[in-house]
Amino acid sequence: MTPSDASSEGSTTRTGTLLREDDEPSFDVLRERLETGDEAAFERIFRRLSQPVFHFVRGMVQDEPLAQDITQDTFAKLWSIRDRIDAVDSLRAYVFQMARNRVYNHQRDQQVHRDNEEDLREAHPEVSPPAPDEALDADLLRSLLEQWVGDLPDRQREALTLRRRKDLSHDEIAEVMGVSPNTVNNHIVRAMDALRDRLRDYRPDLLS
Amino acid sequence: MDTPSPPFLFDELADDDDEQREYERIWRLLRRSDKERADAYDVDEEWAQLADRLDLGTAGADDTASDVPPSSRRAQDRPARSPDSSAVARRRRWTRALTVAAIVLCLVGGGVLWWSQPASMTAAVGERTTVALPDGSTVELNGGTTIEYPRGFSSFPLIGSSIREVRLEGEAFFSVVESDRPFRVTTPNARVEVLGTEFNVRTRTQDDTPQTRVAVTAGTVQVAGTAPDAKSIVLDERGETSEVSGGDASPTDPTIADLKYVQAWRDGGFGLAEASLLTILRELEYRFGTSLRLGVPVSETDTMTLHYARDARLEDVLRDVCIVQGLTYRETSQGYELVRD
Repeated sequence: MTPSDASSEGSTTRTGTLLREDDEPSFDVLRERLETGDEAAFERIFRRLSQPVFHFVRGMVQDEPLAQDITQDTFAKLWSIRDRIDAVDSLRAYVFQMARNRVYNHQRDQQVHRDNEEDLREAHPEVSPPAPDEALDADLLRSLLEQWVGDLPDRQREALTLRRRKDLSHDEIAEVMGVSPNTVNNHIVRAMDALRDRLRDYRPDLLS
Repeated sequence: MDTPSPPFLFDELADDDDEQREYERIWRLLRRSDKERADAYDVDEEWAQLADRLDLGTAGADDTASDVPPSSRRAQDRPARSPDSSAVARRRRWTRALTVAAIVLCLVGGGVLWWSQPASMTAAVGERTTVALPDGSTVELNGGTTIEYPRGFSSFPLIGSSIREVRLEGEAFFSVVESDRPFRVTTPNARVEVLGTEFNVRTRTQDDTPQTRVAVTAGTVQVAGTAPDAKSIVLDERGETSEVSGGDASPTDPTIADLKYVQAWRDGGFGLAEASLLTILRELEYRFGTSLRLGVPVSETDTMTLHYARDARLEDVLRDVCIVQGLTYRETSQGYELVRD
């Protein structure tokens, strides 16, 4: 596409702002701009953080549309409290924390829900084996792993999910989870051990 | 862009190199899932929805687009191109040409790589599936089974190989079309060669010892170990069965087995003759995709024979097993455990 094509689309279609890595303002700057109700700043925050947040939420809930909803809710909430975020230390960690609260709230509601109709459901309906008819061995292994990650205790899964991508620093992860950095490590170690044990139990030969 | 790297911990965490490799493998697989999830997330679409919901203007302060109805925003919602200068545009054209070249290269390279890799089919634990091979032969896969065969298996007359070769891990029933090219099934410790026949191969590895069991329903097959001088035996009677146990072993002399045990899994049932309880539980795990643990020493249990012609249910099988063995089963977070009353 040539420049003249682009401009002929007219200003009404220019919904995004061209984002370039090098002139990207820091989160501190964005937070200050967000406080004043700057929509462009909000969009930038969304574009930079929503996918990492989605990834985290998706790691915690086994349902993609639900994870999308929770991510949206998180940012909607951020927008609604924009004039009260001046005390926030790390905007990134704060957004993750909001998402985390939503995840746990949802799980709590689900728990109540599930308790009510436990008789109708099996204990873990989602833990049925994967059915990739012509999948590669690695795909099979991967879907099993995902299943097993889903079986991990929440905190372990959380630490593991957050640590896998480099969206947050180690200290920020600790802040989001409300524990010490050492505890984060312990969670990851235990999670990895559990996954390895299950893989070994499942098929010892796969690891060799 | 975040670079994939195993976390700092693995060196401290792992007792030896093997363990470290295991952790790294798990980590790699998880990261690949992460990438797929990230790719599935469309930030433009999500932003359009959120902007709609919060009733935000669609652009920065300079050009508001409040006159655009929300519905038309979605299609147009992508980062606007900046008509800054022709230098930027030139750079972008170059980038695009390079991108196209790179994509073409990747496709060609990928195609070559793809062709050189064997095709692979897997029936997940708890699943069964049927695979049609390029030569018209069919393979029914039991749960937890993988087969591999070269992509040049038959389709190209000039470069087709002189033998039809399939690698098997797990259990499968083969219906082989007759051809002058021999058909060979390779397991970790045995080779089965045929000209046109129907037969069942089960190969499992336990305590590092691969075991392969071949049963023929029609035609003739030849079974051999993988060692160069391993003797081979011929199965040519319906029901004849031979076993290869361990790496350098030779096949046992043929015995006649009841084929109903082979037929059972193909019909959705379950069958094993004179098997140890550990073997039975392991096969049930493959068949149903559920973790099963034996809570008593295997020496305190007996070998047994099970046969469900079709539609076997795990709970029924476990109940029957427990009655015979004087055990009881209980549900655990991962599956079931068999314990003494």
